[in-house]
Amino acid sequence: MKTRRKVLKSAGAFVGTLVVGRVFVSAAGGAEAPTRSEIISAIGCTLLPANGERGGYQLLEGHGINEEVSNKLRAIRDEDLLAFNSGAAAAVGEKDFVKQDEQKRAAYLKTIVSKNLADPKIAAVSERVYRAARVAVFTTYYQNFPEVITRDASGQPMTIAGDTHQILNPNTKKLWTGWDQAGFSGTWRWPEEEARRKELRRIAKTVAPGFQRFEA
Amino acid sequence: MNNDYDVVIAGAGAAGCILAARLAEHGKNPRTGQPLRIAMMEAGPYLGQGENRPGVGHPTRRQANTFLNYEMGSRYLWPSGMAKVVGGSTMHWGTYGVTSSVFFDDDYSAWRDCTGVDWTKGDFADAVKETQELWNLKPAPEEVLTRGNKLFIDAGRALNLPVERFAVARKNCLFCGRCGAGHFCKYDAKSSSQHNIDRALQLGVEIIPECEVEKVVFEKNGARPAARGLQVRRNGNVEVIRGSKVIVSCGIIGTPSLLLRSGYGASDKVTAPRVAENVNVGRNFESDSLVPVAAIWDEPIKSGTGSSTGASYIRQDYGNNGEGRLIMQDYQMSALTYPHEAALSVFAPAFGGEHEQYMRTATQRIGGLYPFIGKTGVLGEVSATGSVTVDQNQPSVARLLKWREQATALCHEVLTKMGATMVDTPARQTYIGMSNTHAAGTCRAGEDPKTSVINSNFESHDIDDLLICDASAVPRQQQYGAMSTVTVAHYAWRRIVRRHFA
Repeated sequence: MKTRRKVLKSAGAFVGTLVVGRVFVSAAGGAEAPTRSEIISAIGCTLLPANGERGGYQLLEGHGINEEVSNKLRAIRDEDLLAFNSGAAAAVGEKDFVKQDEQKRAAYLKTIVSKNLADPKIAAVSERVYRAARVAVFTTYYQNFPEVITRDASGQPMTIAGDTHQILNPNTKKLWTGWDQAGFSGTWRWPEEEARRKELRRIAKTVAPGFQRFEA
Repeated sequence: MNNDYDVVIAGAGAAGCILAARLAEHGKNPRTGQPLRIAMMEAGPYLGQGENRPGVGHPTRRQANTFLNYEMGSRYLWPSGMAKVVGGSTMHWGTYGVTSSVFFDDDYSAWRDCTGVDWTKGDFADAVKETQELWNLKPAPEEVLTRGNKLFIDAGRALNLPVERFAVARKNCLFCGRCGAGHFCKYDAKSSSQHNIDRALQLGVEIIPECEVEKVVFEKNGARPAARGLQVRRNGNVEVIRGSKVIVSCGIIGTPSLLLRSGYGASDKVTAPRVAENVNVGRNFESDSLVPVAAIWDEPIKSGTGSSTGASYIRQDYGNNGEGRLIMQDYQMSALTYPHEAALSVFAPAFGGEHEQYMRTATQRIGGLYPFIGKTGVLGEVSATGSVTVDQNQPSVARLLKWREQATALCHEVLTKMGATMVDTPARQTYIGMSNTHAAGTCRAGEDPKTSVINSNFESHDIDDLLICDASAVPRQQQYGAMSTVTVAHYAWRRIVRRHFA
């Protein structure tokens, strides 16, 4: 996390310094601005809202998705995130992005997407933040976070004990992940492979010339 | 390890492995009559340990390819993107051959017109047959075609376009749909250099992995220089592996950059004391051009499993004599679309519930066409460091940009006929980028040293005992890379054995 640095002044807002996780401000009302983590979390929850059992971004926050996404967004400056956050007040009313409800947050993102923000500087910054966050969130979620391949010390995926040919499949179904949302099953497990091999051998017996060999 | 061989080969890619196996099998030392002592060096690792089971694959390669981290593994790649592993790019290529005969008739004439090389279709007949049989170059069975593959065939025919079935090089393929260029096959179904590696090892070839060739070693041989071996770095140590003949097979970029670093090439390009001058080393880099056109349908056009190869193509020639050859391929009508790719596609809603709804079926509904344009005439140069530069002001660039517009328009027409709900329009191109993986020409064969580096026998015009055989030897690019390189290597070993090792 960054050390002390100055936050840019923005019209009618606040000045302060962003220290580890907190912003201390001297704005009217003395309100504290949110942390990077809070802003990114709010964006993630808006991009991937919860839907009953499909907990979306929020469900996976307990598994570290916000840290993963925040790491991908480390090139985004603090002041840009804060400008994005405060831009919501002018666009959708009164409160900044983090403090808005889900509907207002979504309305703010739609305003950004449709390029309808009044202040061109805020619009440019907000669009940049939105686009980078969208890529980071969707890439992380739809690459099946948090399930990963178990690897050995040299980085090679580990195999199932006693089987040199089959690696451990991470898609455990204990969580609703991006793959579940997309109906994507990942790599075949052994029974699926065997069924497919059987099917291809059947085709090989009936198809005439022009087909790839299928050896037993 | 012995340090003195009949043949040393730099690079265990497609061509290197073919030459190693075939020279070991058919060649003999002309003085002693004994089998050739051959060593082949490769900078990358050898992923070959363990039992290979047809349709199941090889443990090391199954583990190397998980399908889950969306990349082959940068440890197995050069910075140029070419494979850095024993077996070379054929270990992870897309297996596309276009036509079962490997080359079209106008490919042979294009080579001869370019440099005067004496290669003919008749000469290549045995080499083409060897490719067809050993690499199993055939179309995929009808049973594995997706709905999208079939839509392409029907649309092409309805538009009176010449639709042909695509040849692919696979064995024991499960058509899992989880492959494409850049991925090892979990089941070893991609025809690859593996059978040549196995054969070479059986015949006593020493394959030396994780051994980077730093220079070709040259010595004076009367009035001309001669190649005498390879300076290599292995386990942190530098040594010279000597050979009576040196074959360089490091690929379209690796070969010219190695030669330039060894002092062979144009004076202003070599980075070592000049051994011999030939301005063509590293020049004449010609590749194909691709701007994919994506589309989406309301209903699934891919199955959960698919052919993952593309099934058919439409050919159009935008120039004369096969120049500007468009091969419009339906690869994206059956290849896998990963969830994160669908999530960030141009067709995806912005976010929220609409995006979630879209994602339920998007991976099965997104497709498109790949319009490769080959024989572009746009030429680049490879430097000693392996960088490729293309002069954007050459006249063929403007010509290629026009061809691209025509190809994009044709893709739109076909995709619309296929019933696509939306077709993406790529941004208008004003710049030509070159793919490294389908290129040719950087040490091309020909009759005149003014326009070529090697003669029709793959021998350097300028340096004795130096031979070159890989994509760099091919005078003109056609489509894709591996089948062309493989077939030229199948041709090369025959001439090399006749000339040097009979």
